[in-house]
Amino acid sequence: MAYPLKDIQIPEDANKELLIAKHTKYLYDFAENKDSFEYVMTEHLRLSGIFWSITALDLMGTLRDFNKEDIIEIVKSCQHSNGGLSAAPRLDSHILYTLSGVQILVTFDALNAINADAVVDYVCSLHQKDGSFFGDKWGEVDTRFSLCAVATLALLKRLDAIDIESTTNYILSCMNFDGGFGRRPHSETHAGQVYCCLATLSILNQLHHVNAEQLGWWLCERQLPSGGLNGRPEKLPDACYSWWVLTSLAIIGKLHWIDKDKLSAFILACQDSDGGIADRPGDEVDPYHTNFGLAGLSLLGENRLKKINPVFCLCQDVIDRLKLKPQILDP
Amino acid sequence: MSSDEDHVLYKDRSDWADVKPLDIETDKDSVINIAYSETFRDCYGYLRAVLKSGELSERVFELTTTCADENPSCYTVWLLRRKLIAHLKKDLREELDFMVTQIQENQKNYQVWYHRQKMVEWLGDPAGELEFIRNMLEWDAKNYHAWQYRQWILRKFNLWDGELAVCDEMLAKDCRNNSAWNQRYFVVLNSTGFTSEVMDSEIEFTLDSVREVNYNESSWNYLRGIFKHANDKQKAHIINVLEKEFSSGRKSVFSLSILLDTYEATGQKDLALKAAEQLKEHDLLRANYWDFRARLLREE
Repeated sequence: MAYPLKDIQIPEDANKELLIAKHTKYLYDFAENKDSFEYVMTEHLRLSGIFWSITALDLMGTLRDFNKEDIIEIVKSCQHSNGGLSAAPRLDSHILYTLSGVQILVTFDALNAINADAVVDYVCSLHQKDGSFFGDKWGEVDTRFSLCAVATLALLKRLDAIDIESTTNYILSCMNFDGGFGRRPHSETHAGQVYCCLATLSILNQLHHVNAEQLGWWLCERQLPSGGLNGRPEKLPDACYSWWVLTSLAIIGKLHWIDKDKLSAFILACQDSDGGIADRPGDEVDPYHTNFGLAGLSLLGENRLKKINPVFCLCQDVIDRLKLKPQILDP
Repeated sequence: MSSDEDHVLYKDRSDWADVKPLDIETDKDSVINIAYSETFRDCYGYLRAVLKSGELSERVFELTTTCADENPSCYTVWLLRRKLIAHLKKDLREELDFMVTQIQENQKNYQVWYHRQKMVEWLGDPAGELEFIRNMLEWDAKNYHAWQYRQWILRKFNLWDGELAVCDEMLAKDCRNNSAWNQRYFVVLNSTGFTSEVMDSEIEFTLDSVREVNYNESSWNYLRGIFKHANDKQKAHIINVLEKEFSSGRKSVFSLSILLDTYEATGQKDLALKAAEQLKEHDLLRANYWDFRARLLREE
């Protein structure tokens, strides 16, 4: 029953070993080379970039004191009078970077650097009557923003600040006929949005609403013969989708439904010999794919990496320190 | 990025002489450090300055055009631009024209699509938008942003007439386009609903499609999706067609898996179990999943 699919071939000389020292050097160099094209062009997502880098380093056990004080200062300088955080100083506050900032601070156990009550007020100000969340005051709605809001509040231990029922119902209104989730009601199912919706429901302890069997099937259909996972049918595999799909399967307790060895080989093949991980073997690396590639390997049980928490995408020891227990369905 | 040779840097413009750009590394190792264009460094230095001063003026509007050209992913540029459009009462149609190239050059960028949506919302007139989106889908028929925007337009302005035909056309071009199948479900649900008559035609359409291209996850998912709207007679018909297909040797993991589901849904346990066992043998990547299904059936 073979059938033609959009996929890639893993080159025979692809990396098969995890290159921890190289990835560490790549991430340190990226952060220090503040005049590089890549660094300058990513100012608009700086806090997320920092989050990806420090989480990747934390997973590898090489975070040490990676400019800790400087980074805390940057996060601090990104908080606005409305309580929200922007990607970089002087840009506008947005829920995406508010979560990134909070994730960075909890990693460094430094939440007191910002005004947490003001963050809570900001998140609540974006909550809509139908349970959805705006990304900022301009009104774009997306299930990504629901996760950012709920995860931020959970990390700040302030989930009591929002109405859980309407938040849950909005997520459920985005469930599709294939069991997956999209950006808004009836948007096409997309692996990244599936993760956002499942993680939101997990934090709110509402996973019983999910059809884990049907969704699990859709998710494991994402695995291609190369071992990599794609984000939608008929799309190419990608190391970051490998994470979105894999962690979604982990949340609903179905991680064993895919071929772990083949996925592991795919992610390892996406490594550059000089460090960093790309979307596919041979492509340009970046901190985003480096983080999600490593996070995927951690979920697959790579014992040279620390354990990742599938819901918050932070090292499990950070989540344990915060005494958070997001819901995970039994296999 | 802008490669306009006539572009004059803001630092060389007399009408910007009163503004001091911010956060620009000046001259320090400038020979080796300029890894990105001087235009970029220049305009973003002035952008930071006006963000700090809060200036809303024609010259700032022009500055946002340069900044958008240099890095359209900088979300603050678009927010400032909207503030300026409202403040200066700019011509919204002109802005839509500007957004044509912006979207063409940055098809996967969230900001440019949302900016266009905001302009149309302010205009209150969707004229030309469905055609614009159709053109964009010619470039990339699975562009998530384009489909999202199309759904917004359809719902906001109630433009359902003819949309199912658009789905037909898109699927005729590429029956593996999952976005178009999703759109089909969205359109039926919001226009006619899955009435018995509509279901008759949807079932035939989908069965024709899977008969033509058997190995197509998207069409099978659609069939599975609409199955729950089918009446008993329609369900029996679907099973009948699938069995015939299957016995004539046209097999796929998809067709067998949906047979499994339909057997299960209609209480034919033995047949369902047989299908699950067969799938376990054929679909090795997902053997654990099929094993799980078989176990569930045995335990029932």
